[in-house]
Amino acid sequence: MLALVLFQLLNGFVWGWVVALIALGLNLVYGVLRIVNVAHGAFYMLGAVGAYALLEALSGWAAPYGVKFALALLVVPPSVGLLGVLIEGALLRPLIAKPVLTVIATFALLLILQQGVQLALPGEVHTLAKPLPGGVPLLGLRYPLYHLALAGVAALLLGLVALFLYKTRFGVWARAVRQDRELALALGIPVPRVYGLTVGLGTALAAAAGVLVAPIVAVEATMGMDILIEAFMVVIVGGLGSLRGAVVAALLLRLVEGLLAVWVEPVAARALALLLMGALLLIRPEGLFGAPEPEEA
Amino acid sequence: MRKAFDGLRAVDNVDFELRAGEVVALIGPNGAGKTTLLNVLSGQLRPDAGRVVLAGRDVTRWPPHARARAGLARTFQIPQLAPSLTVREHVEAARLRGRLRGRRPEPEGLLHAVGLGDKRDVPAGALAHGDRRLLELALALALEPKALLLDEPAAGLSPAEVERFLQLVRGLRAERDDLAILLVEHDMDVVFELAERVVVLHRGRVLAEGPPPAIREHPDVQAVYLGARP
Amino acid sequence: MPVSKPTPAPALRPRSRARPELLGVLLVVGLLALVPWALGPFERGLLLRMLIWGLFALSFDVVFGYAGLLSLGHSVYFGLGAYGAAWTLLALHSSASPGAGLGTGMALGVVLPLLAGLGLGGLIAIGLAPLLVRTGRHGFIIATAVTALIAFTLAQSRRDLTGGDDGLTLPPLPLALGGWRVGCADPGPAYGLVLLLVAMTVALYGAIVRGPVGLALRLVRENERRAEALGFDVLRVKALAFALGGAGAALAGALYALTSCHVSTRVFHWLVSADALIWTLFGGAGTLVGPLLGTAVFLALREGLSGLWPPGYPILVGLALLLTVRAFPEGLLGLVLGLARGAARWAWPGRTGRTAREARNGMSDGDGTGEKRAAGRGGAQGVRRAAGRRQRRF
Repeated sequence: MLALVLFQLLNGFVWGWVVALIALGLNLVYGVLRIVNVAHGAFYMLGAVGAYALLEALSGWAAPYGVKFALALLVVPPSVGLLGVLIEGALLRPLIAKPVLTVIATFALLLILQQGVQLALPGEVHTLAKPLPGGVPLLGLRYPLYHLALAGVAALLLGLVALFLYKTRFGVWARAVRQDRELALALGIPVPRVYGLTVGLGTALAAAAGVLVAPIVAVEATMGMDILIEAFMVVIVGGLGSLRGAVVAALLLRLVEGLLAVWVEPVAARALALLLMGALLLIRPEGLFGAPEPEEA
Repeated sequence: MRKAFDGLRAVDNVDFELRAGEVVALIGPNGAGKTTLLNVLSGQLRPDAGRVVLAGRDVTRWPPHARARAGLARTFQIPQLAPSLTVREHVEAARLRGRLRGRRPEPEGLLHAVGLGDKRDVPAGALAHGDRRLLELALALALEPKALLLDEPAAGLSPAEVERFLQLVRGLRAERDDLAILLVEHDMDVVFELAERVVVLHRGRVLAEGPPPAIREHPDVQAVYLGARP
Repeated sequence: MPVSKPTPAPALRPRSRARPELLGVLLVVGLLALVPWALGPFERGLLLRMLIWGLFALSFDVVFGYAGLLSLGHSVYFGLGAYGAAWTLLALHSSASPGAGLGTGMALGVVLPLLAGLGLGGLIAIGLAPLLVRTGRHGFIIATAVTALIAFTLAQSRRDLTGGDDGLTLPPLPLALGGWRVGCADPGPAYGLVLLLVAMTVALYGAIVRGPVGLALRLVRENERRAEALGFDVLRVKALAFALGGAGAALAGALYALTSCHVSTRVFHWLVSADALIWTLFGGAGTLVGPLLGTAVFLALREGLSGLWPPGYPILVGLALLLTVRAFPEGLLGLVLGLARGAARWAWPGRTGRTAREARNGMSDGDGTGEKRAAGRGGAQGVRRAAGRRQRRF
């Protein structure tokens, strides 16, 4: 029993970091550009699909699988990030003054990317081997080693992003734009560049999450659909625009879900965890770490 | 009453009364807290201390819409209009005063009164700046207010438009002798033309108060406006 | 102040404009009532779906187009309406003796499930409305999406009640016209019922959005401060829009369940809400006809493409959306009306004035893009307004 509880909690912990990674990108883009990016889940999917495609293409190469996977982790997220930068410039920038239209444009993008992948990647469910086989003993059970490594890498990436935001010039710019766009413009901050880079970073984070989970989930075109809304939930429970809040909320949600999964079916655990988070929102509508959203005209 | 932002007191210990039938002008240099004061009065901001009393009722905790229904109308420094709604629809909405039942009211009389009769079907987004200000005034009047707060109504108007605005307010004074008007204005000609009493705000405090001629001669006020420290 | 007398003539104008409109509506409803009887069951079914999903899109538009609130949780009320009706229908079906008299049995068998669906979805929409509208404009999009995820996951977790992905199979509606019964392959007389209810709801929505409520909704959509300063309780107006929209969605959901012999948990998914968004936006948001038109066009497209190139539909939808957003944000209806006006101007020059539609700066973009552009040009006026916007937004 205790082993099962621990097992489920660990699962929740691992997935919590993945969701946090996705939510962080979403939150970053929302905070800086005030865009609710519905296509964010598609970038997560692109990360997983990209890793799958790359590893398939490299299957002839004799290098160890772990090396190839590491290569995917290094190559795929920046490529997806680049796509994000291009999309921001071409599609979102002209619409930035109209929040509702940006939501719709990103939704259109989601449909196109998802269906495009569906066409390019026909067939049934695709799976990838784990780059780190083996497991660690856990009270009589074995916990997969890769899951732990995954959580570690995700946490590391989150830490790096935080450092990036707080220690580099770009980070200062991004935070300035988030606080006050007009003032940032007046101070000579290259706001368009900040927009582009923020979207690039956000999509790259989603893609990184996608690459990381590719070995432990079914890689398919629709895989970003529901995790997107979960990331939404995490963002709003954590407090819109709050990066710390998103991480805390993601871990909380998945840990609660993992714990509940000890006693009820996984779907029911998920529903209950989401309901609990919803109840949390009723108590604190502005989220755990958020200020109430300023009134908009 | 008092209102502070992040520890910075924007309005501090301001106490004044606006009596029925009176036109009071609120003046002061930029950043003196005039608009903050107006926002506290109309309910957009909650005061940190103090009370707002409207016609004998304590409305300090009332939201803006309740104050509007109770007879407190305001205009905005930057005209606040709905771009796609026509002039006529704006006035209809104002005459509803928050009611959601019944028929849509007839706006014609008021539109002609403020001189927008021939623009009734123009969407507010297509109005010239001067007309937007007129529409703001018409909306405030459509609420049939007891007190009217005007936030820099003459800003950005041409001399001819200012003259037209002055005429309108004078006509309004002649017609409704119980209407109290609080006017925030930078244009001293407008202030001295309309106001019976002037309140000078400086760094959130009342610097001086009195009839226009006395204010004009007041040494502290002159100092503030000439840039010297009082 | 010299108050001039109101001139009576202009007041008559809206009424004289209403007449051809009414004629047009009657003509369309008449056509929709007569044509299907000459069509085959398949086309009848397609028209039926256009009506039901059109109603769903219209109910979405009350929230989105009129009140300016983008709800990705609209599917929740559709789903509740569908399951409320489905459960009632199943309960009645299992309890009814097979040879029960058609008269009262028919009335109850149709009316009770409809009311149950409408009640379930409508009441929950009314209950959630005040909570959801408090979340602010961006928060609302996310919060409503989350309600859809919760409803979907909850429904999935109770397979015993909802049937999960496979769904529930329902008996056909106990409705007959002469000897003609409702079947699963052919809606038959159910089409008439749906047309009647949809037409009534559209008329009701029409009356609401043309009255004070519609004015308040549009005012709140475009400038909350102004609405508030004019005495409107902004949160109440938004909650009203949400409840009105939710009730319409519940009715559409109930009609869907009762006429399709099947309902699954998919109806709760946020993508169903997104469908309504697509159809509404493409047809013309903030109008009564736009959502109905958009739905009809897209359902026909989907039907047509499913024979030719099935995966093409989502891509086509995506491209159509991008095109709509970039090139004609007022939707198909706006495009058609604009072309018609252009033609009229060409035919009778000098007879046209500016209209509300032309000056509209993209929906729910409260501040207007024009001001943005003015700010970009650096005009003194524009900069001041931009500064004002900043104060409001942050």
